[in-house]
Amino acid sequence: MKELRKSRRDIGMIFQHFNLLWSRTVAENIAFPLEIANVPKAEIKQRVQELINLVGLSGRENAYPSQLSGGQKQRVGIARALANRPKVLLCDEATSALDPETTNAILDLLMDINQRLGLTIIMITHEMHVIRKVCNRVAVMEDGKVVEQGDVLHLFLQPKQPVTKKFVQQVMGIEDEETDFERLFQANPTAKIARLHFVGETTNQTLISKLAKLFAVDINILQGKITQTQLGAYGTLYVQFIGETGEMEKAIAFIKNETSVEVEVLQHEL
Amino acid sequence: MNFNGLENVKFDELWLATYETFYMTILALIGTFIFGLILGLLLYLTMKDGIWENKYIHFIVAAFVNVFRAIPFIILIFLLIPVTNVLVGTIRGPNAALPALIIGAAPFYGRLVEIALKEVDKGVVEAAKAMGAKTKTIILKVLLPESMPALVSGITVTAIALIGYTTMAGVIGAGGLGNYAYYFGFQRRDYDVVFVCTISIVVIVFIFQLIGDYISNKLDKR
Repeated sequence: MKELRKSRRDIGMIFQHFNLLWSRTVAENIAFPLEIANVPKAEIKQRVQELINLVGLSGRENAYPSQLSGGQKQRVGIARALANRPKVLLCDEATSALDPETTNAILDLLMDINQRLGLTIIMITHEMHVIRKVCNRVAVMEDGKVVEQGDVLHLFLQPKQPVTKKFVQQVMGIEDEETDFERLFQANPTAKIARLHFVGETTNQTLISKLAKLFAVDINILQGKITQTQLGAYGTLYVQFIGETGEMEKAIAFIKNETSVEVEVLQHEL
Repeated sequence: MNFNGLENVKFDELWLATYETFYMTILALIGTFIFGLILGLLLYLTMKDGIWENKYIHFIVAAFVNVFRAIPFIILIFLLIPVTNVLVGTIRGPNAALPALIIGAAPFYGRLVEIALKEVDKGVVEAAKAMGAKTKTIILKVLLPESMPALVSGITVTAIALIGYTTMAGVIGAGGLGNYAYYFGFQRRDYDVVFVCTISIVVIVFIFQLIGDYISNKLDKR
């Protein structure tokens, strides 16, 4: 039991409903885990000030939680969780009670902390956009078991479990079945319509303009959805190439051979 | 009925009686606060899903609380006369009233403490546990401070009940305003004394209520 208590100090935890002591000020709330760990008073004072600056709450030291907004409360929660210099920060639905703007600010703070302190952050969440924005690896749980895990990009691209698919759809939208491009085929029978699959890597972000410069083709973007993750862009883009058949084939070959973008030319049914 | 002026009221006696009432109330209040806190904490900690979940201790404490809350105070005094005699060495005077006052009021306050503790956000207790806090730390630094406004308003309600109890104890010899009103007012048919005693008690009740409300509001940072 004692061992468990000690090891808990190596895990900082933040909560959906912040769980701050309303009877204590911001500074006193942050000092609380240090008091539990029997840190000397002078040291507590110094550490608390450091943490307040880290989470951007300078000037609010003596406010009570009831005087703070949701985002500020969560900042106090984060400072409190970091007080004992934990090895891992566990975020239990930490942004689920916040509005989208505040969520983004808190996520930026978490990413900053992750980078600056070199601290592992574990997020428990149902918000896919949170995962997309900040996570490197993800594990999907169902009925108390991990059913699927891997890189965020990989998992978003190729979800295997039905539950994962459902989650991924939340952020990507339902994978549109090929919209009917028949009209386009008919209007311009020589044009080629291709589906581009972006699977990470940021080097291809200028792909379209590069193609237009290198080859004598016009490119018309038809539809698509691209999302930015920590590992690069990912998503699907439908484009129409208009130009000489030879040039179009060269352009498509370029995508295939020189980039990591997967390309698939749609056949038009006649 | 003798009600022309306050000719029967002797102010030095009234003053002494008021002092005795204060004395009994305050000492009994301190005892009630300590025992009530212990009872309330035991009830809270041993309840289902509590930190020290224990059916048997919970049952015993709950039974004790319920039994002593069920006994009418005047009968409790009679019941406790032998105990009082051993503890205080006399069964007369303000000190002799204290055991009965505390045993009569502590179970009541214990229930109020239990309710106050149950109102503490479970998430905060969970957070303290996640930080590796010991039970002692959770009690002293989370449960009690977080429930303090409710604990204070609870002790205010209890104090007012206690003032009522002291007058009952007064009638059977404990002194104070109850004693004064009964022997010097009611029994001599000097109702002006009863009247003045009533006013004094109402004033004392108001003072306790005002102080209690003030402290409770000051502590409440929600």
